[in-house]
Amino acid sequence: MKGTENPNPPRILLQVFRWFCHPDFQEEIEGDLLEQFHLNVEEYGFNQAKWHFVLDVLLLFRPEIMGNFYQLTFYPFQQMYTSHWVKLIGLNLLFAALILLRFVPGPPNQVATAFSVFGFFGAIVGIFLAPISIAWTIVEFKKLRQSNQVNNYWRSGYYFAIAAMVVCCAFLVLTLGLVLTKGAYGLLPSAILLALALWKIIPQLNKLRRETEKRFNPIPLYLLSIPLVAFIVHMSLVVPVSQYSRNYVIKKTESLISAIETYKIQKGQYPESISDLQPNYLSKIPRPAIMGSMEYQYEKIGETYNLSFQQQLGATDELVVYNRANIHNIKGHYASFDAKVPHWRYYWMD
Amino acid sequence: MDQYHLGEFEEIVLLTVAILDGQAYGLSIIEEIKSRLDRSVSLGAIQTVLKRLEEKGMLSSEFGEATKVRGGKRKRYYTISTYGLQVIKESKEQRLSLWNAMPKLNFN
Repeated sequence: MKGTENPNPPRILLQVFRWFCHPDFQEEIEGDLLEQFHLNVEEYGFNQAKWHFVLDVLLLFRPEIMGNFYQLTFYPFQQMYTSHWVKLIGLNLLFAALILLRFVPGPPNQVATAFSVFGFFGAIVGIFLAPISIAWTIVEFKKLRQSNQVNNYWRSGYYFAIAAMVVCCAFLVLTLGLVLTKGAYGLLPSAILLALALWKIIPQLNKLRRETEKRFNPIPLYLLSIPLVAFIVHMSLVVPVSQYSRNYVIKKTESLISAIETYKIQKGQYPESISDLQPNYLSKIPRPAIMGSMEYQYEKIGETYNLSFQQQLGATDELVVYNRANIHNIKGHYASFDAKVPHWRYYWMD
Repeated sequence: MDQYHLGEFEEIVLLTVAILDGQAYGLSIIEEIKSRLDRSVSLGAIQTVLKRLEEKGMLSSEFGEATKVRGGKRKRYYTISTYGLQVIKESKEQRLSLWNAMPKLNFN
């Protein structure tokens, strides 16, 4: 015999064949292909037999032999229960809502901001987890297509363990960061996540490792879809929503600006601090009217002043500034835009 | 029901399955056609026709043994059904009647 002692056909071609072949025909045709390959090795040698194998696989690419594309693509989805779909849609909506939470009108709320950062950060972690999620999804899809004698369902457990470890490490780092920057407010999302981890991850891991039943596991689909949906939400909704929240806060700031101007008319100069407006001009100093914002910043500059608030657009901080004299001289930004409201501009900070 | 008209290659495959008499599977059919007709056919072509004929009820099949060279995969043995036999007989008769109807031509 020419060629190697234990010849094997090209593995990639075999994988391609297994992917496109209808599951009902796979066993017998794969057997024929392998038998043909071994006969060809004896007759022509290993190298030529490889090329014959390539040709044989390509010539099997026929409608009668292929699984239909609906079956190839959607068969695993048919194995999902209603509860899986509810979780998939619910989790994606939850992450989308978390990302947009900081733009919702309402009093500034550090917990909401912390949740929002968690949502955004979760989507980023999901992007880094994408290779594991893709590999795991392929394993899950293949699991449904292989015969009942093959039992390698425990593989899901290993992928789950890797993904859980990455997620836990990432959120541990984020928790530390949030606790350091936002104090106790960062602890609430962390506590919820930890509770979820203890409640779900460990029992799920044990279950997956001992899995003996051929059943589709939708977890990698969650891991794949969340960053994808979060990315789409971020790219398509953050700009219009932040524009809405900016205009909303600008409108709500009118009473504060009016109080500052009244102060100037009566005292002949602008106040040194907005707290000087209390109690004669304002009973209470307002706060920017969106959940993800912080306090107003006020700075008297000669005969004018800057009044500003901040909102966070993912990794970028947006500073929205009012200056009645239109002297906008803000440092540390990489882009600035007209807010389309007189005397207001906004800056994207480094 | 309209009678199904066999294609040329379908007829060859059906006849070869009948010749192999219970030992017909993808590769053995290819070998048989090659040895008897000196005609090379691909596994894809054979499998396509086998599936089609089985769907039409002219062939029936069952799994056989698995061997090491087949990577532990079982063979699927095909046998011709009564309907399949009837179809090839009718096909033969139609051809014979055409031959018989042909005027004697002078090929010289």
